[in-house]
Amino acid sequence: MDQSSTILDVQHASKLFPLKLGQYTRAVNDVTFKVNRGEVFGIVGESGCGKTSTGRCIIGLHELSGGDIFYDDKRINTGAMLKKKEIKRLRREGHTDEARRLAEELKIAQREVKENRKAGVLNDIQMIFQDPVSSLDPRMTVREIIAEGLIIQGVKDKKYIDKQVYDALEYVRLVKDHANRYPHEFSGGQRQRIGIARALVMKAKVLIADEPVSALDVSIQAQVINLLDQLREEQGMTILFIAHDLSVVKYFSDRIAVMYFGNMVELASSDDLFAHPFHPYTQSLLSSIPVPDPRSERKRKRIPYVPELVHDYSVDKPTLHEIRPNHWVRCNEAELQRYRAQAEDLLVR
Amino acid sequence: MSVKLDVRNLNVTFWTNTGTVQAVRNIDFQLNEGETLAIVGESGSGKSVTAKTIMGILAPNATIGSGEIIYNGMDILELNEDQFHELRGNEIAMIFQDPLSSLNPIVRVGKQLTEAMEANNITRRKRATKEFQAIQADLKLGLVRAYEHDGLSNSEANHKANQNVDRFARLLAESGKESTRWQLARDFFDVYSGNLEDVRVNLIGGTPEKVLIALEEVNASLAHISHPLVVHNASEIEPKIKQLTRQAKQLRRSDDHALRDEMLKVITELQAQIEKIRKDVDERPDFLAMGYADLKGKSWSEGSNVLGNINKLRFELDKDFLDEFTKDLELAIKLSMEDSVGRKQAALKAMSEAYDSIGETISNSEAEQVAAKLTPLVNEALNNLDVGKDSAALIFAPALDNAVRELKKFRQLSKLREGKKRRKKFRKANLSETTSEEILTQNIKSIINRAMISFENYIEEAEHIEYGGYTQCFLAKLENLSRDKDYKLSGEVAKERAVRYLDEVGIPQPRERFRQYPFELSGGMRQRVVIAIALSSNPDVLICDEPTTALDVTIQAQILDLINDLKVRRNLSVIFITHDLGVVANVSDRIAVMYAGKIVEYGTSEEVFYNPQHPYTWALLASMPDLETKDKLQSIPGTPPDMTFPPKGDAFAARNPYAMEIDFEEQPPLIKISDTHYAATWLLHPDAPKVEPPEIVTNRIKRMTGQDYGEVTLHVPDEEA
Repeated sequence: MDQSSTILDVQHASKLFPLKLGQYTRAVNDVTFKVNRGEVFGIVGESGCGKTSTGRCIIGLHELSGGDIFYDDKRINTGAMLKKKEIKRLRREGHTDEARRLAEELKIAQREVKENRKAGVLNDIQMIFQDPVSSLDPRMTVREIIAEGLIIQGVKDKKYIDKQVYDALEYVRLVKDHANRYPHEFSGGQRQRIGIARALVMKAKVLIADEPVSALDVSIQAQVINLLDQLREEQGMTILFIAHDLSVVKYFSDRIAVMYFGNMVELASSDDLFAHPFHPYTQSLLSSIPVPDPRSERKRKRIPYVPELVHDYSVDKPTLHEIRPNHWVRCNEAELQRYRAQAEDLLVR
Repeated sequence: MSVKLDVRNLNVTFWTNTGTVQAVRNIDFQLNEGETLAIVGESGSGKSVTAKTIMGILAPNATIGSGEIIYNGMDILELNEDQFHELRGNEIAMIFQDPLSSLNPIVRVGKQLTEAMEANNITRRKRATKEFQAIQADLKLGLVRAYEHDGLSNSEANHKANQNVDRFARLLAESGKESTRWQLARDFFDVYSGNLEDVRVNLIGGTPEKVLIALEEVNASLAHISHPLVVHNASEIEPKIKQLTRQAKQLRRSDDHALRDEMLKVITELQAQIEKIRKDVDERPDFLAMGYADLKGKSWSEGSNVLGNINKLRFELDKDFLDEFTKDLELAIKLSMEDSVGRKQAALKAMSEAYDSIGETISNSEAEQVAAKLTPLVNEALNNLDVGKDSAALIFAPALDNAVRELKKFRQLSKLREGKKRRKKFRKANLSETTSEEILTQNIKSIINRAMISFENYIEEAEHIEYGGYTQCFLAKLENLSRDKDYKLSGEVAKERAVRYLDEVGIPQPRERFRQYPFELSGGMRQRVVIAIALSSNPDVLICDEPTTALDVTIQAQILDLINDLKVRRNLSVIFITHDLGVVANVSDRIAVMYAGKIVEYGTSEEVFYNPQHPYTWALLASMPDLETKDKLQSIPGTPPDMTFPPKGDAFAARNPYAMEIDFEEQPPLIKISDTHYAATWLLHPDAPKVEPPEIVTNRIKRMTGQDYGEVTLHVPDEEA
């Protein structure tokens, strides 16, 4: 399998939610990243930073407001709203040709998205949700829950469906008998595994795991993480792992993106990020991870993050810059110089 | 370090349709003063049930089979609901997992904070009035007895006692009034300076309309301060406020920076002035002198000179009376105590006879007889002029009554059950295991025993007691009661206090937050508000039931720091319940690991993390990744056992890779490892084979401490080092 080829390409994605008339909140703000085939890509950040919205845009639960998302070079989501605004602005200012060109492009992009979705491209991307209680219909048996996706796709062969369901169940270490039970008869970890089976049966290539272990007890978290790990190793599945528990993300992910208020502030390989965090928010985040070691915990000082004090973006607006190979940080020019100097220091040492 | 809360042999079961669930099975632990005890376990391990039992908020289908929770020398399980009301919230407070569901969504944050304070104030006043009257009556009787002892006739003694007690009460009320006034002055200054601060903030960043509104509030608060101290200064303050209002109106017409700066200057002046007056108030000035000076239009120092002589005289008169009264009181207390000791000895004799006569079980009529015989004896033996140490004896009567009633109820129920035996055989089998006539009889015996121990201690202490100090204690108690009964909390003062609490828990702009609804706040802020509410009645013990589970990492760290901080500042004892071992390393002094309703490991935080002994603790540690973990995580196979039918042996045996045959046969006892460290596993038995914990755990311990597992030296390093 080609390890380095890109499977998911998110370009300048923005998602705006309306608040009141004419007011919007930017949940996702100009986020760009690429996910490679077969890797685990972690997204961390506090609640409300837009990590779940990003996941939902990828799978098509939300329509983007701006930017594009490609899966396997096929466009699966495009943002009309911001582009239309841009077109309007251009027209008002008299750049009619430019405006017409953009409108044409948008039209093509929208048609592409529609066709790709119709062709079932999105079937390759599946999602598991945070709360295993509310994401399974209590009135459906496990068999119905798992087979629902297949039936919607139009598979009629009962035997084929049964076989797929049993295989998926077996893979997540449940047994055939469980197929006829209802979700309330299972424990939290088992329910989460049913959620994974539901994704497996669709032969998913990309799994978006939205806080899959946050609602589980510590002892059960390990079950689910080990299962996801096995999926990655055996089936080469690409996993977009969204979580706020940093020790789990560190343990599980190859690359990690840190988000703060809709912006991606740092993107690096897992080891690199934890060894040399550059952005002050990442540093603050890392300093707040609890460690099961009473002696070092007692001595520890947490670093607070107050954006107004750390950054001065009044003149120079920040963008993503590559500080070291494969290590991206959101900063402006002044900060970029400082970070580069730090990075060179590290190299010398 | 003294023990704050002592849980002994606690046993809680729930009645459900499928049988009785044994949620907590015979657990023991102590909470020391000023420490954090973490209770860790999976969901369903009984940790929340334990916390709810301590708070007295168990569901109605719960029964407490046996056990004691000793707080302040009394068993809180035997309190009735009214007595529990005084404890719950005031002394033991609780924070719940989900901050949104523990706040009322349609009530503003501020109201939720103040309404408890105001309600508390009303009940405290009522209770203090009632108690004060009762003590006054007792005091009269005691004094009559003292005067008669001195050789006065009955009628003379009665008359003198009445006169003296009334005069004393009047004196108390006067001094109470003065101190209340002093307190009120302080409170109002808080309101006033808070409102000034509002104006300042709005001048810097707000609209002219907001400035005007804030100024109106300043005016309103001034009207409320009807205190000589402020009346004296009103002539200086009022024109300035008027000037400010004028300027604010001008500001509304044309917003101008120079004007704002000018107004800011005036505000700063006013604030400096108020700071100065507040300093005077904090030093508790002579109110009478100030009032006089104000009346005559003279300066305060002059007033205090003129009035100094009058005050001195008054003080001398009162002092003579107080000296005499204290002496009489001392005699009365001494006599009352001597009488009480005599009656206590009699009661003790009767109790020990009754205690010996009770065998394995006791019949209903016998139990009633015992209760009827002992209750009046114990009640009579109480010392009326006591500072309040007799708590074990005070709750003796209701507790015994309750225990007897429970025994009778149990017999009735089991009779009913006999009838349905055939249909619900299994249910009966489960019931008889948890409660039995023997246990209920044992309850009665333990209640009698506790009263006996308390009486014996009392008699022993009475020999060495120093009556002077005791009398002072009694007087202080009376003074407190008198102040409580007269202190009225006004809404504005409550608001200022609420703002102070919000500030204490680290909420920025508490004045703004005060007006907001819970849904306008983020999760961390909500949890802070919940903590502020819990703290508003100054509790001794704080129970945190998974306070950070619903929050994310940065906020979790902040809340943990806050709880640690508050613990030190207020000398709280904290019970911290969580399922995440990683969290507790930061907050806990000691850790109790629970599984299936039992404590399986119990030790200081260092001992549990660096030298874990129970396989379940190993499994918990192994299933949790940290930043260095690279190996495969080890999950715990299977699920916790169904506690309707608890397994015969060790409950963890079925999921335990280290389980031995005996684990399936017999429950392991808590085996002592060191003075503070216990674990319930047969692996610690001398005959057991030696096993090593999973590699992931030993590796981590080695990494953290630099030593191999089992060789870690466990002493707490110096705080400075």
